[in-house]
Amino acid sequence: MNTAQHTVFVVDDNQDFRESLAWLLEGAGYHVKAYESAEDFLLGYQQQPGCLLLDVRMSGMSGLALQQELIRRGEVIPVIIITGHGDVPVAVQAMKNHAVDFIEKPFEDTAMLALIEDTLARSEERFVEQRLKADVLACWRELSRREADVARLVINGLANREIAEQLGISIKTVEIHRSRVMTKMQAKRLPELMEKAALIKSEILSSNSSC
Amino acid sequence: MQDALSSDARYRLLVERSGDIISTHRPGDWAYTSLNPALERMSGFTVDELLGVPAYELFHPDDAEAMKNKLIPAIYHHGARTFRYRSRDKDGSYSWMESTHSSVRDEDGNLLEIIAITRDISEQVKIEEATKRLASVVEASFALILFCDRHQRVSYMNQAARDVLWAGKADPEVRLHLNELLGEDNYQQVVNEAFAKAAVDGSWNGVLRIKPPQAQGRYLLLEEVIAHSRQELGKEGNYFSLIVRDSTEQKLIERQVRDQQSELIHASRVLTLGEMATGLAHEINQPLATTLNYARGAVRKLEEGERLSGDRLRQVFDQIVKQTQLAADIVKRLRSLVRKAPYQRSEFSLQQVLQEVEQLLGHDLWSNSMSVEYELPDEDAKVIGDRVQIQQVLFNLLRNSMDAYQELPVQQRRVLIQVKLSEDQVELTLQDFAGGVQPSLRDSLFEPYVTSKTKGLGMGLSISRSIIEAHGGQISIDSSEPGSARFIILLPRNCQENLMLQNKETP
Repeated sequence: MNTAQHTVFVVDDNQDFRESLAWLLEGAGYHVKAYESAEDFLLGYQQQPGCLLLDVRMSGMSGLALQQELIRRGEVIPVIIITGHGDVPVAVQAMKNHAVDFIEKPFEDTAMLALIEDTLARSEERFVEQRLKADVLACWRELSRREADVARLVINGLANREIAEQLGISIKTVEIHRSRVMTKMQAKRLPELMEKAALIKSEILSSNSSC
Repeated sequence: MQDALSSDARYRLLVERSGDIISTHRPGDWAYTSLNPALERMSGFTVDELLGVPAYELFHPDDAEAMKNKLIPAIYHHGARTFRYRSRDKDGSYSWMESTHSSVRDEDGNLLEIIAITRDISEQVKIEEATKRLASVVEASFALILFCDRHQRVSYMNQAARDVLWAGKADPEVRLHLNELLGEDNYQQVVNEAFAKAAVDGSWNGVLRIKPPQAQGRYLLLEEVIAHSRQELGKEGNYFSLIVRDSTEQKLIERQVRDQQSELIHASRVLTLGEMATGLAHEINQPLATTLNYARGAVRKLEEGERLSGDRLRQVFDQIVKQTQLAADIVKRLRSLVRKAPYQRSEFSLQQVLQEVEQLLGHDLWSNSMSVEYELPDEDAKVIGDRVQIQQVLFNLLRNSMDAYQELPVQQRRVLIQVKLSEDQVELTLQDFAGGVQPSLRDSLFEPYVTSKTKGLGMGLSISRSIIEAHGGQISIDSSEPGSARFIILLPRNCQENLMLQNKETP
C-alpha cells in the first residue's frame, strides 16, 4: 500500500514544537500540513487521506472538541493524540473519542514514526470506503424527490406493484422512475443498488424523514 | 602705737569675727570650754547654751561612734586631724561639718586642751553627692561611655565600655589613646566626622558603626559625642564624652526573627511550587520535546546518508540551542525559587519579574483560561530587594485570582496588572473581577490562617504582607468596585539616593 501520497496533519499551538515536528516528519518522507489551531484545521481539511497528530492542550478550541467535531462531520481521518506528561484523564477522554493512540511529549521518533506508518496503512480502507461513500452519495443527490421515494421502496424490497399502490401512481410510472434510479446510481442490477444504498443508509433515512 | 591693738585683743577680734566656728574642748568628755559666735549662725545654739556641753552630744550617733573609736585617739597621739561628721542644729536637723582638731599640750606633753576649727560643708557635700550619683549612673549605664581629652587620650571608661573594649578589666592605669581602642580606621572616621562637628557645635548626634578590634562580632553604634570645655583650664580643659550603644543583642534578635520569617516564606514558596508542578513540568517539556525532534531528525538524516546543507544544519542547531536555552532558563528560575537562600538584595525591574512570573505560571494560566492584561510604564520600575520574594507575592496574588475564578465561566477570567511610577514609589495593582472579597473577611484578609477557600492554609496573603513590609512597602486591598478585588502594592522606588542609603546600612 502506498502511503506516500498520504498527508500527516499536525495541529499544535506551540509554533516551535509544531515546526520541529513538521521538520522531523518531512525528513522521514511524509507530506506534512501543520496548523496552529483546531479552527484552522477544520477550515483547511478536505478529507485528504492521512492521519492527524493532535495536541490536546491548546488555547481556543481544544483537541478533544476538535475530535468531537470530526465525529459529527463523519470524518474518518485517524487521530493520534499528543499529550504532555501525566495528562491521563485527557488521554482517556481522547481514546473514548476514538483516537487511534496517544503519544507523550517528548517522544521516541522511531516509535512515533512506526505508529504513524501503521495508522496510515490501517486507515487506507477507511478512506477508500469514505471515497466510495462520497461517490454514492453524490449519485443519490442527483435523484429527484419522486425517484428517491421509489428508490427507498425498492431498497426496502417492495415489488413495482406495491410501490405503485403505496405512492398512488401507475406501475408504468414506477418502472420509468426505477430505471432512472438505476442509471443515476450507476447500478446495473438490484444487488448492486442494494450494496451502494447500504453505504449511505443514514443519509437515505434522514432525507426520508425530511419528506 | 596708740591705736594699735594688743596682740591678744587682735586675736580675740579675729576669733569673734571668723566665719568658721572656733572652739576649745576639754580632754576626756570634749565639753566646750570656749567658742565663737559663728556657731550661733550655723546651728542656732547660743554660745552660753553650749559651754560645758560635750561635743559628742551634738554629733550624729553614727559619726559619734566612729569618732570615738578612731579619730579621738588619733588626735590624742598625733596632733592635728581633719574629719567630717554630721552635727545637730538647734532645730534637731543635721548639717555636714568639717573640723580640724589640734591638741594643746604642756611641756611634759600632757594634753591640756583641744582646739577645733569647724565649718559648715552641707552645700559642698550636697554637690559631691549629686556628682557621685551622676557618676554611678554613668558607670552603670548600659551605653558605653568614654571620656577623652582633646588629644583623644581616654581618661574614663564606664563598666559597659570596659567590659566591651577592655575585656572587663579595671580602668587602665595608662592613658590609652582612642585609636588603640577603636582601631585606626574607626578612629579616623570618629575624629573626622564626630569630633570635628562636636568641636564646632558642642555636640554630634548620629549613627556611626564602629568596629573596635577587641570587640569583634559586636554591633556598636557611636551615637553621641559631646564637647565639654572648662574655661578656667584653657585649652587643656577641653574634653569629649563619647556615648556608644551596643546593639549586638538587638541585632541578634532581629536576625532570628528575620531567619524565622524567611524559613516560613521559603516553606510557603515550596508548597506553592508543589501545587504548580504539573504546569511547570509542561513548561519544561515543551522546549525539550522540540529539541528532541530536531536532534532525532538530524540523526535520522545522517543515518540515512542524507547530506544536510550547511544552512539547513545551521537552522537545526540554532533551534536546538534556542530550545535548550529556554528549558535551562526555566530550570534556573525554578531553582532560584526552591533554593533556601537568605534574603538577597539586588536591584531589579518589576516589569521583568512580571514576565518571569507569567512564564512560570504560563501553563496554569492557560489551563484556567485566565488572561492577564498589563498596563506598564515605558520606564523600568526599578526596585531594590529580594527578587524571588517579590515573585512569590505575585504568584500568591495570581493564584488567588485563579482560585477565585473557578466557579465563573472561562470568558470572564481576566486579571489586570498596572504599574505606576511616582517620584519615590512604585505602585503595582492587580485586579480581578471574580466577585470581590466577602465583607466578613475584608479586615482580616492579611492575617494568617484566614482563607475563603476550602483548601489551603490561608498563609499566602499573610506571607505576602510580611514580604512587602520587609521591603519597606505596603500591601492593601480595595474592594470598593462591586465584584472586583484590587490589591495595591506600594514599594519604595529605587533612585540614586536610596541606593546610597541602602549601601550604607549594609554591614
